[in-house]
Amino acid sequence: MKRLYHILLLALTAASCEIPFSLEDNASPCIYLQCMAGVDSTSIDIRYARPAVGQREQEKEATWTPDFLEVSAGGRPLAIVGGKYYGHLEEGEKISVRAGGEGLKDVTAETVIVPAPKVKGFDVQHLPDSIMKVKISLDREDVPGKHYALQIIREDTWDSFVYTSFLSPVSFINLDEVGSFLSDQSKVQVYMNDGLLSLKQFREDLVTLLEEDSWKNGEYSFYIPMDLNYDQSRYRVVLMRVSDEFYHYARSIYRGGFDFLSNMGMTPANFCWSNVKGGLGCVASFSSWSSEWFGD
Amino acid sequence: MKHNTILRVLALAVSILASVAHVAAQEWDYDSAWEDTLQTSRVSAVKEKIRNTTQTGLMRLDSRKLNAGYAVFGTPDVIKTLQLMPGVAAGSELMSGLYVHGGDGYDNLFLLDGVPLYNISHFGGLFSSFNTDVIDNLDFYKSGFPARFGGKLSSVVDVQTREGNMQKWSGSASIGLIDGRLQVEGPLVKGKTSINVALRRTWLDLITTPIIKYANIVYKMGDNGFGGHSFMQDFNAGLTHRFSERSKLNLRFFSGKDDLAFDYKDNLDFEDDPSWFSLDTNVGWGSTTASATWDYEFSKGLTSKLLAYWTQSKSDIAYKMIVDLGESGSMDMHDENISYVRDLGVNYDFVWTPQGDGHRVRYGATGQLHRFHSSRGFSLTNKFGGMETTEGEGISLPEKQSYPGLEAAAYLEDEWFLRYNITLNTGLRVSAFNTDKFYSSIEPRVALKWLLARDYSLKASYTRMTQYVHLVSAIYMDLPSNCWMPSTAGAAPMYSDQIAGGLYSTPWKDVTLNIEGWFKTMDGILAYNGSNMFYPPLTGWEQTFVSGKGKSYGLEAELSWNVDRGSLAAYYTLSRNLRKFDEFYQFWYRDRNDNKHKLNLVASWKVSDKLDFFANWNYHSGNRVTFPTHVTEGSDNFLYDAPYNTKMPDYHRLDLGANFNGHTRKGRDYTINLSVYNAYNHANAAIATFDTDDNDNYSGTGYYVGTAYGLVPILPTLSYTLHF
Repeated sequence: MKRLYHILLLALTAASCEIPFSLEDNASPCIYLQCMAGVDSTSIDIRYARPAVGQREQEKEATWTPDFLEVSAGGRPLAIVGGKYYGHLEEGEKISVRAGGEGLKDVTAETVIVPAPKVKGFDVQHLPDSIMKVKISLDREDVPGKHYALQIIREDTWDSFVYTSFLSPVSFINLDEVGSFLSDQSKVQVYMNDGLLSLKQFREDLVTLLEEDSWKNGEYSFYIPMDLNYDQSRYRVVLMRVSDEFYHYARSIYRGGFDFLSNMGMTPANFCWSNVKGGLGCVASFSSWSSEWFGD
Repeated sequence: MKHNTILRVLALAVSILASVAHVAAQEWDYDSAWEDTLQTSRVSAVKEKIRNTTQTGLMRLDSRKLNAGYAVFGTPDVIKTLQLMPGVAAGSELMSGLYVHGGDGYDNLFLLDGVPLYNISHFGGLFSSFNTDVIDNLDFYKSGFPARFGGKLSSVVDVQTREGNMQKWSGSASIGLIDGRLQVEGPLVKGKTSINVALRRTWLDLITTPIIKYANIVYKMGDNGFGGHSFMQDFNAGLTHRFSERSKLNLRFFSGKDDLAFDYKDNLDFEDDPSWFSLDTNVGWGSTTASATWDYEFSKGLTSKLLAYWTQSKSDIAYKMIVDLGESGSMDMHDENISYVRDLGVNYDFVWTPQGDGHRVRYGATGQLHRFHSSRGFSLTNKFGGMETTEGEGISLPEKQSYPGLEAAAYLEDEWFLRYNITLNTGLRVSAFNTDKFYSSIEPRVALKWLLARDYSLKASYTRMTQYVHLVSAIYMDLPSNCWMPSTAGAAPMYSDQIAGGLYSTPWKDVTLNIEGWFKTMDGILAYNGSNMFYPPLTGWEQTFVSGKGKSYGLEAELSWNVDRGSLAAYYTLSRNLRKFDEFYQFWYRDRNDNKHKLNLVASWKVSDKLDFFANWNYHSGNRVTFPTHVTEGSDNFLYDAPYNTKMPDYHRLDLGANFNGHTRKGRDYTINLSVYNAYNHANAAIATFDTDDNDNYSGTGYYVGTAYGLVPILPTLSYTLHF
């Protein structure tokens, strides 16, 4: 019995709890495609996505270019120069993207240009403690099943220098960088509401993805704490209607950034969205409405 | 893949050839086949051979089977026994997960003497609530659900407890590694009235509480120090009274409870101020049921069962943390969560067997008045530098979701003996549910059995099931923070459709060979789509869940050899389990419990009256996790090509056990059970992480590795049971 006891004790001590396992075969290289199509500007980014694990081919990755990249709107081909198309696209037009490169599977993806938000009302109210309350109104029927994102642009003047926060230097016409925020999870936030304001934790994010329940009877209110450190600051609000693809993808990136339990299989894996067949990424569309400058 | 296909084809071919050979070789015994089938309602269900039932996907276990086997922590467990069955995935090791035919775990209908149980686990899933000391038998349906069952999508676990012995008093007392059990039954009025009472409780807290107190004294903690306890207990009580041979009343009560408490208080060295820190956590959860069942035989062909019950599942989590820094300030944080679901229900079931026309008709109706409730409160008060700030809603549980719900169903089921060798079970269940929205569903059920020969039958079935309740959970663990919510205007009911069929046979004496396939689809299943790890929001909870689809198909085979002294059995499952949530991923993807292969080998042997052995080897393909698959040049962001894209290492484990039976000096029987869980101490993957490889510093070969962690080593346990 004593011997048995020792054997069991030894077995317990020898228990190995860490089990490395091979991930070599869980992926092969593919094309990463990112496209944000808008009425006045479309940006597209195509890259070589290497497996996160396994032998790297650094030179190939760095020098890789697609053999072909075809973008069409309603069947007509678009001329993409430097990853951009500045021509006009119609609301409701179907955008198709197809690309291929050496050694990688061809990829395809589609989206439809969403119509611009029909803003019914826009109101700015000055509150104590240098806070502005901003209210945007839509028709009630423009909320269910539709997705919106919000951006605030701030322009500061100090000693005759002008500083502009976030993306666009002057206006929102140049949308070059809109596509790039798709890959920047830290700039996508879901919530910005009264609760955060009450905690004095207002966050100035690049783009705020609005949840459907953020809208109350077609109205969405939020707050902007004014920065009084400059000679003059002014603001403008951009409301974007984004396509379903963008909504899913942005949320997916947002969640994947911190939900470590999902990686371990403990919570739903809700951060893998992509609509690129044969590869990874997102092809989405948006249309925007912009306010006048205010707050100065 | 090719190898698997060949094996599958071979297995199928062999079984079909064997069937044909036996059919050809046998003389038909129509009368006995007919009688055998008709007798099914009268003979003990436990003894009935599965091939003779019309249902597909049915497994029957009696108390002997449940109690004979290895016992983790010295306690036999219903759910852990069912996890061994083909077509069932177990999820995380040692937990009470029951993922049947691709189900999600919250979609099993657990019935204890006909009363639904919402929470069936103790210690987060280490034990189930079913005390095998009082179980008479258990029917486990994976497909081919009869119309009398409804309300959940994936399985029915119908547990019947034993009526107390009407003739003599008897019982048993058992003590295991961490728990003890006591069961007593006997007649109050001989031949008329009996009771059966059982209690099970873990006893570790009875030892640890004084030890902790002693440790606090030894370390001179004074008013400070650690405190806490953890225990679970079950109490079953049943009273049976026979009014006559035709009339019987059963009163039953069950209470299962878990309690976990931890407190800590200590002085803090913070400047010269007297300061201290305290933490007080209390978690309690459990289920309670009370029921009355009246069985009445109107005539020889018509019997009825009237069941009235109350069932509740409740959890309460509270914690309080105070940091008092004297004059410098203080922080006071409270958090409390209470949730429960309560049902008041009535079932009235009839079985009508008209003489001579080959029908057995079941019909009945059920009604349930639900109350779903969840409330939550949080408060944080900071007092520093003369300023006081308060966050949260306060601890008066202001965030609240409370729904009344009314669920009703009526069913009709006809077991029609079409021919001497063909039985058709057709049924229809009509169900309705009302909270803030009215839902209804028509659920057809069809099962067909074709007795090819006395020892061979073919079966096929189609069932549709509807589920009107949802488990609101942010994490795949059976935690008290989970709560049940009804289908509302924002969360539609869930549906499943399943077809199943197979061959059920006894090709040689004492040998059983069953091969069954299934294809199942699920609609409207919910998955959490938020980011909070433990507490999904209550207000607007529907919006943090997304609705999706599930699909599961597979083939399961059972080959067993049973003789009086022992048995050998092999259960194999080949399956695929897929999900599609448009919000997560645009295509179908494998679910986390997509265990392609599952094999269980079970053996038991009675060496003598004094000694019997059992062994059980489990193997299944690893569970799946979601790991990054790609990175792009110039970006640090990981990309994922699909949910659950990586298979963890395969799972395998050997359990061994032995029963040593003897008699005390006073002539009472006793059993010493020695069980060894994970006998060869194999670390099976429970969780996995994706991380940098410490041994590979950017060598260009890729520096990420997957590491799984096994949490359960070899677990030898001992228990002693005295029968009296």
